[in-house]
Amino acid sequence: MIGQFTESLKRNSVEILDDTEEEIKKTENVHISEALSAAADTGIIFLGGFDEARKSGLAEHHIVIVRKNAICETTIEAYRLAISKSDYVFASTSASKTADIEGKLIWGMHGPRKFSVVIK
Amino acid sequence: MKNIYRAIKNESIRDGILRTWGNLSQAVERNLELYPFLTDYAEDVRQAKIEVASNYDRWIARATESLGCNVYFAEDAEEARKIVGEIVGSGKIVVKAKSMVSEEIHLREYLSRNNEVWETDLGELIIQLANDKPMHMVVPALHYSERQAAEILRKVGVKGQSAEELAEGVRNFMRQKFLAAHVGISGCNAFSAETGRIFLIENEGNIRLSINLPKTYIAIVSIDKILPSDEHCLKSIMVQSAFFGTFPPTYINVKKQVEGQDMHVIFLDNGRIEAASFLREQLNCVRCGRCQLECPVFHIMGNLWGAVYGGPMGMGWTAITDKINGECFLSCLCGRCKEVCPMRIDMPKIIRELRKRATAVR
Repeated sequence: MIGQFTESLKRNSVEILDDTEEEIKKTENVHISEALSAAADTGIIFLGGFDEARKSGLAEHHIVIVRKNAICETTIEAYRLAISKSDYVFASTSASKTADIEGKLIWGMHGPRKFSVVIK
Repeated sequence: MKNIYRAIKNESIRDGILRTWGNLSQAVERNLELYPFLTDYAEDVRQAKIEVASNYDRWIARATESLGCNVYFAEDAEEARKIVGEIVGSGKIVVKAKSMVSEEIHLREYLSRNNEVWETDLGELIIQLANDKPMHMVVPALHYSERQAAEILRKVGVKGQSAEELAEGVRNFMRQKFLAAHVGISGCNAFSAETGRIFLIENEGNIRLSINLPKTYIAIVSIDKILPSDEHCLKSIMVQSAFFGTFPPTYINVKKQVEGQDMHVIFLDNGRIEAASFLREQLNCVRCGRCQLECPVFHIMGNLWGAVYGGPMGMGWTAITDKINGECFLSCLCGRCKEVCPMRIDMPKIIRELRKRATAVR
């Protein structure tokens, strides 16, 4: 399942990091979260908390730690696990993006310019 | 007729739609190949929508009970505008998520009379500043070139020529608005009657900031978005984004009342409960916009074919939320819309019936 999850992350253009320390030194306004759950089939990662939603939405670089035991086979299972842990959930799949001008893909529209995952 | 000539002369509409169609139709095929379960999800959502539309009274009551915040019911657009207007007041900074239901009730125009109102989605901001109408539900400014977008965005001091420079300028401009906003407003992609959670999908991150940063948050939920459970909602938003062509969505927002934020939910009927029996099927629509991009008439006309809701699905939605008009005669009834619709809505049948009734009215 971890293999399928990393494949999904790559498909979603997500950078997979070994650790967070080096990245924190590189960028200002890094926000680190621990995922509630993640879906192997789609790479959708569930996070929790109102304050987390605000802080991660404003960050330049959002790094998410995903525990191996929080990886579920499907998105529905991942959602069920997430709401069992938090009443306020939200999900991220990649960095913020837009293709609103001539279909040109631009990363970092309103949310984080970078989105990275550490699997632990 | 005026709109037909306007559309035929405007090559940028055609170019924009064909470019978007080319990019996204391949993406839809890829999504369905990679994630075959989406077809089953679509059927689950279709069945749930049929159940809800058959018993709106019961499901609206259940949806209302599920919420722990201020809840309102608006019978029509005017009532909805009035409710929002009273909550917002005047002299406020309002940040809006792109939303068809707010287009349906012409909310931005109404609130802008005495507030500073911003569309926060890049494409929708371009439309707002150009004083235009969205050319597509999901890609509203697809008919503007990079050069034209640059010219329009200069109105708010955004400099630059390339899409990248413009996006950066809008990011910086809008960030200040998000941080200063008193009120955030969104529509709703799916509403869970089980828990009162509002599901919203997006790629830019503007909805996440609009619904979480301001002290006051208002959601406008058209009653066709009510679904029995969170899982139906999750399936519905996955189907919506996959059949549009962008899957998985970058962000899934699941909104509910939290301490420290004043939340208001307005359920909007606007013709849905009383929709004629032949229009009931239209209420199953998840508004992915797939039928629009596949339609040969829409390729030429864009959203100049229709009022707020254009293209094949727009004919049914206009009849439900506004009135039956002669635009249904522009369809070529090729049936492509029905073939690609994840909800299997028979739009040619709806359009044929609309034609009969439009003729009878005359």
